[in-house]
Amino acid sequence: MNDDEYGTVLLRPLRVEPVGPPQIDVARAMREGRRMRRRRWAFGGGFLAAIVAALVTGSLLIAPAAPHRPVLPPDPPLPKSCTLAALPMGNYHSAEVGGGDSTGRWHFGLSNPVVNTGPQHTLVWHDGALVGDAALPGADVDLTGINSSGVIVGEANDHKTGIRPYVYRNGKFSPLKGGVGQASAVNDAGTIVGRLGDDAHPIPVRWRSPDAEPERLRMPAGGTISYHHLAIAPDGTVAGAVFLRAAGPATESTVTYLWLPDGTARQIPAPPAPRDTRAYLEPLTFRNGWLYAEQVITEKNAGLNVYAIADEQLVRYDPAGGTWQRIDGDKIKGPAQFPPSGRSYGTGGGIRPAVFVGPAVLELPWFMPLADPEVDYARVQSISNDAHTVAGDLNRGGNDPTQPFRPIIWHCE
Amino acid sequence: MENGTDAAYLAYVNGRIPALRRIAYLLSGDEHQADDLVQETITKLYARWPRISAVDNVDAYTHTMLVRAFLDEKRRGWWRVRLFGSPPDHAANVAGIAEDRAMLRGALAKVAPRQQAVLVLRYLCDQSVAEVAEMLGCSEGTVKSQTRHGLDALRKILGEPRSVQRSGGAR
Repeated sequence: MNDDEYGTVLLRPLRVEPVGPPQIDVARAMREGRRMRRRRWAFGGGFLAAIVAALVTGSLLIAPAAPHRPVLPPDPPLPKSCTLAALPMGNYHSAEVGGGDSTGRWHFGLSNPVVNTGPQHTLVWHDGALVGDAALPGADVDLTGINSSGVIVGEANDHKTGIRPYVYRNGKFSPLKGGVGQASAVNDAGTIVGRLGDDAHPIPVRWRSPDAEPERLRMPAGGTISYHHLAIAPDGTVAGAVFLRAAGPATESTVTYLWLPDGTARQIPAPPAPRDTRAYLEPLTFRNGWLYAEQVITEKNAGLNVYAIADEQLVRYDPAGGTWQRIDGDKIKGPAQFPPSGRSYGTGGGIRPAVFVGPAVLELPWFMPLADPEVDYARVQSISNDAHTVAGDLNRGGNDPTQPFRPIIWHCE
Repeated sequence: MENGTDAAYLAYVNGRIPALRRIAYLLSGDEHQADDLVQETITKLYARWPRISAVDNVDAYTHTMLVRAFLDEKRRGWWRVRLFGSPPDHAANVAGIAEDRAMLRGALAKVAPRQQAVLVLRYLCDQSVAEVAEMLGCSEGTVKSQTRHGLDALRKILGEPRSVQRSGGAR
């Protein structure tokens, strides 16, 4: 018999349909996909351009060079134990955690995260107590960062101007100056970074304070800011990805830039990509002296004639010494989460939630009655710089409002 | 604008979930893993939807993402943890019928992941060589060679299927 006959007959018993009810949650896919999208909004014009943008990044890869600075920024010690507690929800039945600050004292979230299940308000927790409950300033609200003073930044559609950068402080939302745009992150000094303009013509900017006028970040010739997410360090250094379109697709590239507090900017080298792949970097956050980024690796799909995303690696860069480190490639595929990455798919089915502390993994306890490891999914949404406070939420998926999101916090020592 | 995009996404995804789930199930042989593969695929699909929706063949791209997710899971290996922690699959508990399937699944699991994908897509999902090549991002020649290598591996593990031995008059 020929191969096709053999294969058809041999595998025929496996030609069966799934019999159980599907456990696929489209609403969750949209929520999590939206977070991913926020970080990837602007590749330029269209999908093909987006993929092409990644093509030549590989050719720019430079080997890590830090021969004169063997001392790397230290990671906090891995806590030995953690305890789990619920965060209060006020009168709400359901609430998710959106993020937390570097100290672990401030967190923000959203009531009734599943649409049409109740009023959606921004919730703010301080030292585990619910201290803020504010109506949303518009539609399409996406809050992206909070600092150690409880100042939150993000975006909202005010239905007049469009999607604008917003700031929350002292219990109230207000738009940042500059019109249409988005705010990505705020550091503990109150400096905010984001972009202004529409997706086709984005301009990276920095606001020295919530009331300040925006200052343009100087772009390299021929470059546009490529990704939504811009990270800001405690000293005001900003990291972002820049899309360079020089002379046609063959010379397009996406490179990573640092804008320094003194007004200068410099391109930073990228870590090596696997053989036969192209890669680009998405800056995520500054933490404990490191810039964390996601390295997106693409492989050519000959059939579609595009480079499709094949893998994503969590990496980090020491801006002072120029050293890149890859956070373990296998671990990132496992249950360990890295909150600013938007990679909070959640863990469930008995898998214990875990979070990266530098390259180490902190496993988090969850137990009845707060959590049912058999049916709950845990999302880790923030971890403090000292790794002593971790926050997130539990849910059982689906749009059933009787299965609420439950905000939680781990205290670790 | 986002609402319009969302509506198009919802219409697309809701119409494709049964087919995606079937492919994912045939690839993985496990309903829980199949659902997770589809969940991952539609999440990434949403993230890229504003751009992907402009691609001529969205189905091909979506199937590619799904197969890629499957291959990633095989490479990661952490699914094994999940499988051990999950309730047994419904089908696997059906006596008799399950025996052959379990044996076949076991054999298939020993084949290289990319070859597994090729075999499942060609012989269970009825995809042509060209379609499989498109999904996997490789040449048709590679699909053919992967098919051959995969079948050779299965032959070594299982031998010829009984029904064909009879019909072909073999020993």
